[in-house]
Amino acid sequence: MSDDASIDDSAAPPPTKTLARGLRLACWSIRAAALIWWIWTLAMATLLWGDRETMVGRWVKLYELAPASVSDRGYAGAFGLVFVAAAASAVMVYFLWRLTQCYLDGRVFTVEAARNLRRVALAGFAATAVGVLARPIQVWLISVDLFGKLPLYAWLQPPDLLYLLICGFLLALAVIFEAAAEIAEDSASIV
Amino acid sequence: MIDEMEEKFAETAPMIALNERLRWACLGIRGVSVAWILWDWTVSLYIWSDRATMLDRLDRLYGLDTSSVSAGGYFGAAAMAVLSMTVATIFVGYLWRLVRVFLEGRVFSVDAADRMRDLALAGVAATLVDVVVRPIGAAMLSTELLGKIPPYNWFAPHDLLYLLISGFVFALGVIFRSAVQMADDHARIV
Repeated sequence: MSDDASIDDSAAPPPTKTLARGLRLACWSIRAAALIWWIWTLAMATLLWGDRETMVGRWVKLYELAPASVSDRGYAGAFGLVFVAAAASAVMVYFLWRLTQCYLDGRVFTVEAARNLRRVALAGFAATAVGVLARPIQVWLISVDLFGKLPLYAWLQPPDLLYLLICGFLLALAVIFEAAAEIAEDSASIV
Repeated sequence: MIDEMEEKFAETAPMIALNERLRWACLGIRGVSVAWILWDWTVSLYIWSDRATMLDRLDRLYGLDTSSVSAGGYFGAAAMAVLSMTVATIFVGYLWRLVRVFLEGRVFSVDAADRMRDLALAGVAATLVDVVVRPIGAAMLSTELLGKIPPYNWFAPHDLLYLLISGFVFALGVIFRSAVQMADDHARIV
């Protein structure tokens, strides 16, 4: 019986190796998804804002905006803010990339990995804040008439709160991981 | 070196108590999750309860023939939106379950790791349900809408973002479980 058990144990891969293989695949999937998401978001926004006639046409249809009230400069400024928001999202993707690099290098349970997770969360907060703040500025640049016409939920949309929730959750996990890794590293240095 | 760090992590992880900062973070997460789901329900119910405005919007945007929308079709489309919101509410329930484990001080436990994985799976389910009910709801209103609504409305970049975050939380759950199991094994040996 014990012999059988020992044969089974040697045949099975060690748990840490299995984790490493799975984690490696997960890391690369997360990286690919993050990159696709960012490129897709930017491409969609560029495509939508690049077609000025259709874009303004939507506001005309929905909020009875006078097309003549939209200046070239104002539209260009509002369009430019799309890239500011994309840049803020890119920072988050960059920190996510750095975090997964830590995992891929095998530095899973380290203070560095925990701090990178914290940076992902903070960059997420910043990207959400930029997105929310950019919205009224864009409207102001396009036409002040729109301010009174847009519904209340257009300013703070439910996904904005969801992003804050997700970032807060990741920040809490980062605090947990960092505290554990700090104690582990202190303990290792004493030994 | 990696194995050594993992062992040290496993030895010390259970020593971490739920500190005051983390307690506030947990309560904050609960507060924001309730605010988000209530805001989501409010906006959704507000939009769907005003049939005339809703159909007028669709008419202005996509040239929908409002007379072609039956009462049953509208009710079905609204029910699809409610279904999506219900699954999102279940996701919040799973988040509350996980946070409760943290608040009870069982930060490094198999229970917490498993609930983290459940949360990630609930996130995937909520995203998939939302993606699936969108075209069904539109078809219930009018099959013409399916051809008129731009394709990026059916699977938008934010859907991919939700799947990405769910996958990320799932991976963290696996890491968490591995650390906890090592800690448990170590405690058993000692």
